[in-house]
Amino acid sequence: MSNETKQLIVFDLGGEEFGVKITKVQEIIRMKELTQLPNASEFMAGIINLRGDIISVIDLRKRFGVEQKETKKTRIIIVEMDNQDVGLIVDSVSEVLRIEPADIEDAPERIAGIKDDYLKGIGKVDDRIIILLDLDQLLTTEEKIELENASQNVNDEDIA
Amino acid sequence: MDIEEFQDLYATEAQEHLEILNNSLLQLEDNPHDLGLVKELFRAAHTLKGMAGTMGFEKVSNLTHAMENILDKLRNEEMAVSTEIVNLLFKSLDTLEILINDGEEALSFELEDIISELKGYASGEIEVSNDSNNIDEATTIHNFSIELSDGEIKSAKNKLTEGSVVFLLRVILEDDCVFGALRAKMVGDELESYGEIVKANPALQDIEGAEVDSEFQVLFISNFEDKEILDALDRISELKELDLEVIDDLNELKKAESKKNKNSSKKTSAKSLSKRLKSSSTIRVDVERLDDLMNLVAELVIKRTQVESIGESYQLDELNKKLKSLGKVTSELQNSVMNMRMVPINLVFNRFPRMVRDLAQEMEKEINLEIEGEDTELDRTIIDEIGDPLVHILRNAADHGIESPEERKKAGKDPAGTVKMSAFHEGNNVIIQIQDDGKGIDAEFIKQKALSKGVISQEEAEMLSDQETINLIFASGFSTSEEVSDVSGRGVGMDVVKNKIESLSGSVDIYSKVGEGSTFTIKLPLTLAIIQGFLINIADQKYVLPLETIQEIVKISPDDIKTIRQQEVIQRRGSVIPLISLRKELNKPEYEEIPEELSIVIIKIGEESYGLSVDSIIGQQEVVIKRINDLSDGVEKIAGATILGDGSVALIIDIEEVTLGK
Repeated sequence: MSNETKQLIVFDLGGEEFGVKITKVQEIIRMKELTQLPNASEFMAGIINLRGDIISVIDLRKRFGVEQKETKKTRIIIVEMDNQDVGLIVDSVSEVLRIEPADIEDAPERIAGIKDDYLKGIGKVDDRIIILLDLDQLLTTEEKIELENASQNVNDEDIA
Repeated sequence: MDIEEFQDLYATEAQEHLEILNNSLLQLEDNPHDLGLVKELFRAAHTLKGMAGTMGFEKVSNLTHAMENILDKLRNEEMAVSTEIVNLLFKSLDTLEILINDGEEALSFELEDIISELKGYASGEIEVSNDSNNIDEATTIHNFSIELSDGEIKSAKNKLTEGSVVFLLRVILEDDCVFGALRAKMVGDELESYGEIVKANPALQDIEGAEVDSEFQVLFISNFEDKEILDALDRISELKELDLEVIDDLNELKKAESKKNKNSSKKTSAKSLSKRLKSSSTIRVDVERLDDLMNLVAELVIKRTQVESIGESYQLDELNKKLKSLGKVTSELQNSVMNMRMVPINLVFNRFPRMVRDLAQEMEKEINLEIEGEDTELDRTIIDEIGDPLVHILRNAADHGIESPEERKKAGKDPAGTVKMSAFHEGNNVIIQIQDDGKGIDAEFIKQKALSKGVISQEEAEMLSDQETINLIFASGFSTSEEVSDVSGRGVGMDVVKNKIESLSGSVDIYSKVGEGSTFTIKLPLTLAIIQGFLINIADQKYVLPLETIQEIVKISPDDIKTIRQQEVIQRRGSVIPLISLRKELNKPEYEEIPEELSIVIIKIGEESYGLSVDSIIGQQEVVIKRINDLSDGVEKIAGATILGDGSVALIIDIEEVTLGK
């Protein structure tokens, strides 16, 4: 990991905070009408029309096994992956956060469910724990990520 | 332009000249007495030499120079066209191709061999059929001396005033001259200040276009002393030799030409040359720029549909009328952009005669390649992609299809096999057929093979018809070659071919009969960008069917649906056609209650008709196909998406996939 200060977009998913590098994020839009694709993988929420471009959208809530409920805060984060734009549905987007490399810890290997692949590390800012995601890995693997267990463990670790 | 751009330009142009060389040489092999072809070869080699010289590609220029010497002998009928010579020239072309594509460093010692072989023939050391001596630089120059037409002589004579003389200037550039084109231009400019240029060889505009040789000649009129002119030219650097000659009689130049004209015989080759020369009225455009333009036009079409839908919902008649004429303009615009991207399929086909010739020689078979419809035009992006699949099929035909001459004789066939490639339009598609009269494909053999490789199960095998079985060679994990030969079957199977074609929204089909041969039929869309679509509604979602496949739309009652072996069918005009429920295909829930009347869209793919049951019909619309990034390769039965007038997204149904196996 580089030694520079990182800027993260922090979003909420099932009560947990996640972060992605700001340089990967194109824009954040409100929830839009989705066109569903038949026979697509479970996490593909569908496609949207973003100013004339067709963009595939992934439901991160499904990806992480979190309850899906649409609120006014539900957002689609448009990120760039492999030179194409992809949308990610999240519960809400909270802020842009600066984080020092020193505050990022390697992902504890004991975390069940979340594979090291998706996980870049754990960011600790004040009392908060932010799970840093590696987007490229996130979408290449098909397995569902057992978020609840995983975050549970992180919390336990922290308390202990 | 920077050097890199020059190099790109050089590479593409050199490639074109190589193609001309290859084609002319092939023709020459069949018509060894056609001097027109030899001339064409000579010119192409000469231009290539000039280009390579300008760019500093020494090896290419050395090799073409050696080829030139041979061609010169042929041209002057000092040597006869023989298979030996043709093969040697083909070998040189292959070497040239490697040099041009892979760079000068690609090979070294082979080059020396070929050049010395060429030189040997040219000097008569290898073939003793002629006694002419070695051609050196000086004599080569004489061969492109300037020739004038009657008209040119007349106008030159008119320009001659008292005291002025006609000069012929020969310039040889230094071997390592970097700015050949620039030097030539400087010479031209200098001469302009001393008199008037009548003609230059190569023409001055060619010189500016970087097609300059290591030597060039200029004919000009001046009333200065030759010494003055030479002094002025001496100041230009990088010129090795300057030779100024006074021409007393302009007619001398003319005679030389008419004498040469007598030698040229057939008109065909001259015509094909003039066709190529016409290319000077075209410009090269980067395909990317055309793509950008195409995207903009596509955007325009979308925006127009959006405005149209506003006009319709507010019933603005005035606006709708104006939009109609706007629609006409956008359609025309779209057509012309599409036409710009269209290139003749010849771009792909033209490398096949040579390939088949080599294959035939290699495998000691006799194969005639017939090509039809090479002018058929296709979208550039498709042309770029279709080459490899065609090569693969063609190699298969030559390797596995066509039998050896002995086998063919035994079977009572002409010992020379025929492979026919043809391309033609059919509706909004282009069909490419590759037909051979070889041994055909044995369905039983394929079936056994498929079984042993686990491609199909025993039950499936029993259900398959012969034609269906033959199409199994496209299944992945299937390769028909009994033993891996050098030509085809080196790991890449026909499934790669099929995938490639399908990725271009096309399809491929084989028809084969044992003992009579096989026919591969490839169907490709004309373009990949905009289609005429037909909007339908399924489970409250809009979908698009490609209009061209639609035969008719009928309403039926649920009672009309019959079942044959669990497949729903309907009767239509006396024939039974399979009925496909799009709800089922698209993983939508079944009707809660069956409606009294069902809308069925009858489509036709190839020779087969299918009925697609839909919820309701919306209508016809031009749609711009957008690719869906499916992330997990899970999206089936959908060919793409499009944006409708109201901004919503509709999916384009992949008819081929939906009807597969029905």
